[in-house]
Amino acid sequence: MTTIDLPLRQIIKAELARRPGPVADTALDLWRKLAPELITIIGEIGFVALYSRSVSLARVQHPWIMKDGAALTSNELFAKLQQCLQAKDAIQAAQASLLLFTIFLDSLAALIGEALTKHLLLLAWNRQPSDIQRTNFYDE
Amino acid sequence: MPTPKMQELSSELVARLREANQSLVIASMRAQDLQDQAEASIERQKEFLAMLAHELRNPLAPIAMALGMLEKITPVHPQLPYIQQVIARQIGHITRLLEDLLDASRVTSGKINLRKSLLLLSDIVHRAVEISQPSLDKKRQQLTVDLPELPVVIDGDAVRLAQAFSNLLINASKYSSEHQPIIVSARLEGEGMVAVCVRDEGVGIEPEIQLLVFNLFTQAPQSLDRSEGGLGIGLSMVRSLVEMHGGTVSVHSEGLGLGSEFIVLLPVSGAAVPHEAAPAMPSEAVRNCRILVIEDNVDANETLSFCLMADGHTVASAFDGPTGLAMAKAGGYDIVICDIGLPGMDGHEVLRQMRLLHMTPEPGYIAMTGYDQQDQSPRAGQPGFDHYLVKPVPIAALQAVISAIPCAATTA
Repeated sequence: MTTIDLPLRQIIKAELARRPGPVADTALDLWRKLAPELITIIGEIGFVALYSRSVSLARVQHPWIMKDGAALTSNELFAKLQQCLQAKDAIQAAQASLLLFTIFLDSLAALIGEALTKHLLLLAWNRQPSDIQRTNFYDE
Repeated sequence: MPTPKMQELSSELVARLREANQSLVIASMRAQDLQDQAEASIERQKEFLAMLAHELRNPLAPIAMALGMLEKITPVHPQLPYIQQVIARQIGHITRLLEDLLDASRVTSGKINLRKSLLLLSDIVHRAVEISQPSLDKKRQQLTVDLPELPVVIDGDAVRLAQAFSNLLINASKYSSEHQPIIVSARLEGEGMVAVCVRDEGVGIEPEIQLLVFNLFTQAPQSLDRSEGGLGIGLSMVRSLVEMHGGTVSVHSEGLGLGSEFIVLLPVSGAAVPHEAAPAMPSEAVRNCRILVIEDNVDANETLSFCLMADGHTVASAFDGPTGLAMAKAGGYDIVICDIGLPGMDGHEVLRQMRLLHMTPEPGYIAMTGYDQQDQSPRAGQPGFDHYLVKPVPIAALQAVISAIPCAATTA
């Protein structure tokens, strides 16, 4: 299994910063690539449960992130997230995206371990550890 | 090459594993949600208790003041002194319970600030004995104090450490029978620590309870009439205060009926023995000040005014902020006593606007509030009140503060 020493948060920051274009589109692309990898392991309902809790926790700092309704699929949730991110300026959208990914992946790491989480992340985003650069693309 | 049958079995296994993982994730998320809800509920309860304690101190203030006035009245009935003593004792009891509740709130919200200085352990222990003596006397219990001959210096908060040790002594008294002995002893340990032990021969503590006694609101099983009273806060306070001083507290008991021993370990300071400052001489001058009382609780306002007038002061009353400010503008007050939680304009705003008047001479400003000073600090960049008194204020404390304020208009 591929190993990487960088913290999860650093990996997410680097990946969000890597791509030009609106933050909402980048974030959604990353979510849509990550979801299938995880759904094969924890199922659609498991993924939605993990994502929904992460949204609830992220809303403490960013209350404008739309609260998910019950019984939505992951794709429906992502569409809602995209709407919310598009309505905000780039910095707010980037901060919220980073927070949401961090909460989600920290929760996942608490369940399956950090090494496996990072491995799945790189697999989903088709990255090698060497691809991840130490990048600061905005002030937190 | 895997056969189709093997592939089918493998797919089925993967599907079952996925389903199992899914259930685990859902259960985990649900458990975390429930934990969040429980923690939020506990937080709300703590906030409620703190607010309740604050609010209950407000009506206590006029009751305590009224009692102070009663004590100055010549007894017209032979039973009046007895009735006064009953009220005084019960006010004291309620005040202590409210203080305990507020302390619990301060500890859980991290609002206790230590005022550290170099102290002698013997002074701390003697102060604790002084505080707990009424409990010991009530049960005619014999206390033995056994301290090292050489002075032991602690870098700590005198009030809070005395509170910690008095809590242990009162606890020992509470769970011991009449005439049973209680021993407080200290010995120097290695690594710059001192161990202070409070030992009793009382009811003892079962092993499974020993793990819980330092938890908030935990008490040993007691009689149905709750004759020992209390809220289960004292030992929790001890642990918090001792840990804030870099120490630890532990309990040991052989079991029910075999007494208990509480051991506090505190770091010893390497500094020299502190010199005791000479106590300030109280002023004996009798003064007649002009005092403006701004307090919305009518009973509190009136009883305070009566008490101040009984001391020879001239008193004017306002029951809200704007009226108080208007009266102050007219000038001529030596002292303004102001509540913080006022209708229309709170005490901080009243003070801010009064200070803008640049009155000459500037009155002395006293805040009298149901809230703690640290909770009621002035707004950023503003000077605060000259003195803060927390309700219920003993008359003597108020008199002491008033006597420290220059009284330009009239002095006897």
